[in-house]
Amino acid sequence: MRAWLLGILLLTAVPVQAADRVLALAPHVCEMLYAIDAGAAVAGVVDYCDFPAAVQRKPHVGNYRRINVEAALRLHPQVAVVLSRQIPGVTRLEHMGVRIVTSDPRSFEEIFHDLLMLGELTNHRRQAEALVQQQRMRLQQIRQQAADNVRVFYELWPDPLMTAGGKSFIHSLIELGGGHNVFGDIALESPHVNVEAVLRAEPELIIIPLERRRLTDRKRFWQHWLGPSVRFAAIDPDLLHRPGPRLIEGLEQLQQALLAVRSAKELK
Amino acid sequence: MPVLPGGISGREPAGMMRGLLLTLGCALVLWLSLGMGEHWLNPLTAEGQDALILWQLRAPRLILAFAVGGLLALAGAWFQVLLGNPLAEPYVLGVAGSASAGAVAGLMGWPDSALVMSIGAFVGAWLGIACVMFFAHLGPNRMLLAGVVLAAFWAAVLALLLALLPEQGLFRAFAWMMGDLGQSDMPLPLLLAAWLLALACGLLLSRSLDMLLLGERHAEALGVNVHRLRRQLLLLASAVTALAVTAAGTIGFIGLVIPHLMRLLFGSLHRLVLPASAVGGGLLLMLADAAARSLIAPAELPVGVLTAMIGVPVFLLLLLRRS
Repeated sequence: MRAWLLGILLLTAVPVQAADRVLALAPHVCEMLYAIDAGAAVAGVVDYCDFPAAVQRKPHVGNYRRINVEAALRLHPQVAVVLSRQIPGVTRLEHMGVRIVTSDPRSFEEIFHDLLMLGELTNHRRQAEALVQQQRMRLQQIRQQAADNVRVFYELWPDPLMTAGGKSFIHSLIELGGGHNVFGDIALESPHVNVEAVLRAEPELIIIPLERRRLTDRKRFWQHWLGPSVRFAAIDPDLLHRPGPRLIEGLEQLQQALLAVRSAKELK
Repeated sequence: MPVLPGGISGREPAGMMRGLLLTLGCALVLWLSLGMGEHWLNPLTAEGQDALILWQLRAPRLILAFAVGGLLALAGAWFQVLLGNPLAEPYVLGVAGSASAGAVAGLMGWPDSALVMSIGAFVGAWLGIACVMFFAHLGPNRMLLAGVVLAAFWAAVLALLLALLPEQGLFRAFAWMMGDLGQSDMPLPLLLAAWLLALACGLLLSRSLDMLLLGERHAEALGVNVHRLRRQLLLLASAVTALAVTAAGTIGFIGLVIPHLMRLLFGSLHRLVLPASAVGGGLLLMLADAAARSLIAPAELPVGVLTAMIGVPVFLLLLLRRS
């Protein structure tokens, strides 16, 4: 019995050969792999992988809607890290012998888990552990200085007007930073709302993910309806919308904006 | 005077009563659709922020809904006569498809500009109409056939453009394709003027339209220039459709069912059906928009979903009772 157990232990302990040809088929996966120094293992990416700059030189094998199986196979990948198995082309890739790993983190804990998993996969475990350790400390700091209940409206999209509902990741980030998402009660991911609803919700801070959209236009628009006292914060959407290693940076910026609103209130 | 189907002469007291009921109904819809929203606001007593919401946010949107709904219903009534087919509606000849393709093409070039999208939709709509015009001389049935085939073509073009559209444009494209009264670049006075003008043109043509319903031969015998009338109708109905689509995207159902509903209520004389459609279509879209804003408030539903959900039961009920 003991020998049998030992045998199993030995079998599982044999290190799996580290993958050095990985398809990173989501932007946050690219960022994670580069953040743990495993950028050299990235064999192919999808169109929306744009950070860090080095990733743009990697071959593209699809976009957010579809994986081009032929292009992917030509790169002789061992592993493909995908957002979901539902993306067309993924199961085909699996049938052709590529190992499929999914990564769709919905919280910081899941981000840390996926970072460690990728570290394990590419034999960069030490770097992954160090990164997770450092991010945990930053997260702890954010929790300690959480602002109290600043009313936040997150303008996910201006036309049609969309916001982050209670089921979104952004909602949990706002709450983590100590803000109160004025549409957090809507049990949807990204509900359509109208100006009337925003007016009634009386936000103190409007967060605008700066995505090729003119901040001054949006400021003028909202000041017209909400008066001059409403404050604005523009944050790079890639920092907030990608569940990757830069998310903590986005959260820190978000919290800075929340704290600025609070200290302005205290001054009054 | 020729005998026309479904007239109301000789029933004046009943007509008066019905007129009164209709006016009351219109007032009720107006009051409801203004008051409904995230919170109920009484239009008569609102003050301060409530008044701002009522008159600067809800009212312009309702005017837009009224004009667009009315234009779509008018266009539907005309297409049904023009094509001699009860299934005809403003989008049957592919105008919605070509307008959508135009709108998405505009989005591809200028993803940030709602104005360019509207211009694209308008150009697309007229491009679709121009294609149909080539087949106008072949008579209603062949024109209908050509229109349906063209609609399939435009649907394919639309699918192609959507496949190529960058992710950022998709939200706006889909919101527009499901009907979006939230944001419109069309000046409201222009839309209302178009509504009035369209109704006036319709009333001028109404006698000829009644005769056309009797059949082409009869109409010609009664002195109608059928060929010219068809051209005028096609142009008028298409222009109105293009305008409505540009203002609010593609909103289905109203153009198909409101004219039939009005015929069930008022008989088939066009001097009654056309104004009734212009008003009824507007009121239905107002009500649907109010419901879209209120049902899952503070979030919003696409208005195109609700026009059918409100209109279909009403229509089916009337159909059962009248047959």
